[in-house]
Amino acid sequence: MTVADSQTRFMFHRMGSLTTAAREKAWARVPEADALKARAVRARDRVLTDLSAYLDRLEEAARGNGVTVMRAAGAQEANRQIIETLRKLGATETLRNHHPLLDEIKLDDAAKANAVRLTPLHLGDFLAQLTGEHSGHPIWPVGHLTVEAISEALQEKWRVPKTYDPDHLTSTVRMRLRRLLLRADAAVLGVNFAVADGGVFALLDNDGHNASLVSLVRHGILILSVDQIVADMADLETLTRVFALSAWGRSRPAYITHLQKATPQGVDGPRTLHLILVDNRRSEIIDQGFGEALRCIHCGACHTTCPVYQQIGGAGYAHSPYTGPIGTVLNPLLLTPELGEPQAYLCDGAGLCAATCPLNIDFSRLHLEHRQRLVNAGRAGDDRRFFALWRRFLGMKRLFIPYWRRATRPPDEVR
Amino acid sequence: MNETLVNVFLHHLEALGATWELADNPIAARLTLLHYLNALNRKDILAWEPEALSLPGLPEALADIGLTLTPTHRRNLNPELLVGVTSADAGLADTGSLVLHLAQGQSWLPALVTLHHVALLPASRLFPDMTTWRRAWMATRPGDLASSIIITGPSSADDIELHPHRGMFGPGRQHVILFYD
Repeated sequence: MTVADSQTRFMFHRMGSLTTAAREKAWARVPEADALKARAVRARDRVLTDLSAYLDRLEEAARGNGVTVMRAAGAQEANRQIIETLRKLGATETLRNHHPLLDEIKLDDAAKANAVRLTPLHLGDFLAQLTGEHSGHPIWPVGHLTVEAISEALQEKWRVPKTYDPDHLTSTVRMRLRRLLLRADAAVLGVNFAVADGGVFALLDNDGHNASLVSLVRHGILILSVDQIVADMADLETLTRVFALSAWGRSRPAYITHLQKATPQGVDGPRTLHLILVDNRRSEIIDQGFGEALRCIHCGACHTTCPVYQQIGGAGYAHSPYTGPIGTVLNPLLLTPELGEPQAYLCDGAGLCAATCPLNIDFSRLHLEHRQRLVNAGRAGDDRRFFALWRRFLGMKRLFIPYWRRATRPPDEVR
Repeated sequence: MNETLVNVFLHHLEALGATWELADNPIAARLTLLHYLNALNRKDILAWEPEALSLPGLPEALADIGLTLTPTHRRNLNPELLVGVTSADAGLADTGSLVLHLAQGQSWLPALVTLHHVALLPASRLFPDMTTWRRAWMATRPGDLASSIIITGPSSADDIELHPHRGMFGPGRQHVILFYD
């Protein structure tokens, strides 16, 4: 773990300030905010406390809708199923959407190793790949990069004219991605939520890349993290609202795509639909008593308030797609002990993450639980260099002043 | 038709950065659409099948002023088709959203791959919110949850320094013609 350079810290701080302001403004306009959050927590817990039953219900509903269903215990199996399915379908040009699960299973690396042409359609993911940057945030993967850095990368790779106009740069990339979109024959789609009752899959975004993919490709491969199942359409609506408010500061995403079955000839949409249900240690996480962490809907709200995240940036989380406070809770459970265990200490106890989380995840309790287990296993405190660095970091009081000010500001001023 | 519902819907549309016109009946809506498309100065328009557009006589009226509706065929999409015209299966007043189901003759593409989306919405398809609309839908089609998109405002991407850019994959401009039917 290292403290990021001053430019990167500034960009993470800027991203945090802008998105926090938008989120707080949006939630302030919701009169029943507390009730909505409570409904969202109930919707998540309902499924997480009886996951295998909901998984069976979803699988049955999806099969009933003509969807081919597979289950993958881990990342390797999921990637193998995706690659094999693409080969069987004879797909030559495949696009993927923006979803942390696809990064978690390292789909891009698997596709490259198997000579499968797979391109991220999302602008942020595409720029992250182009610049070789690690995704820094679940919603804005390259939100920490300056327009100059992006412009220079595009000049170098595509020899486009130099410009620092974000609109111009976006349009340049858009034209290339659009051409790819019009000739793609398959899409790998990470699913935001899946409804057990009726087998509906929901994809959320503001740019329209998910709906465009669903409309244009012949074959859709849906990848679902098993913890992202919801019981019914009412719970889906609740969680969609909460996600939009906390991720983007909007009452609803610009595009909500609901997909239930493959479509017949003459109608837009994929002719074949395949679903891969990825567990990748989720069941173990629940069994170990960390199920509360799986309430997370990856809205990124906790990131933007976390003092530690804003100083070390997304690259400080062992290259996991789960960065920020949720990364410090999930990574010890998902990564190898060498990479994951130190992450439980990437917390200064400010508590702003828990205060911001719309799903009321008790981060402090989960951190303490992790640390307690490490102490019990005799694996805590053996990395003297790590703790020396950590003490130095906590000693840099100047870095924390803006967060203390924010945390102690009266609620009226926040609004 | 509940005037409050109409006003709430139009207020939210405006807040999202979309534009709108209100017509008294389908004939007035047809005229409004003709004026709007004529002002855009595009000859070919990507559109739903005429019968799905809820405005009788529209292809003939468009032909009179030299405009043609191009049906959507996957992979034959002309990148010059910058305008898309659709109807909508529902409008949701509480957020200014449009609901488009996947069905024969009702392609999503005019609302997605064009730069400018014009939506025709009969006022009878306006609902207070998602829950009310879904209840109404399920009453007529129990068990069919339908593949649909719910569009709330123009497409935007803010990946570069969080600078909002209108029109990434979806259209950057959205115009709704709401009419009493």
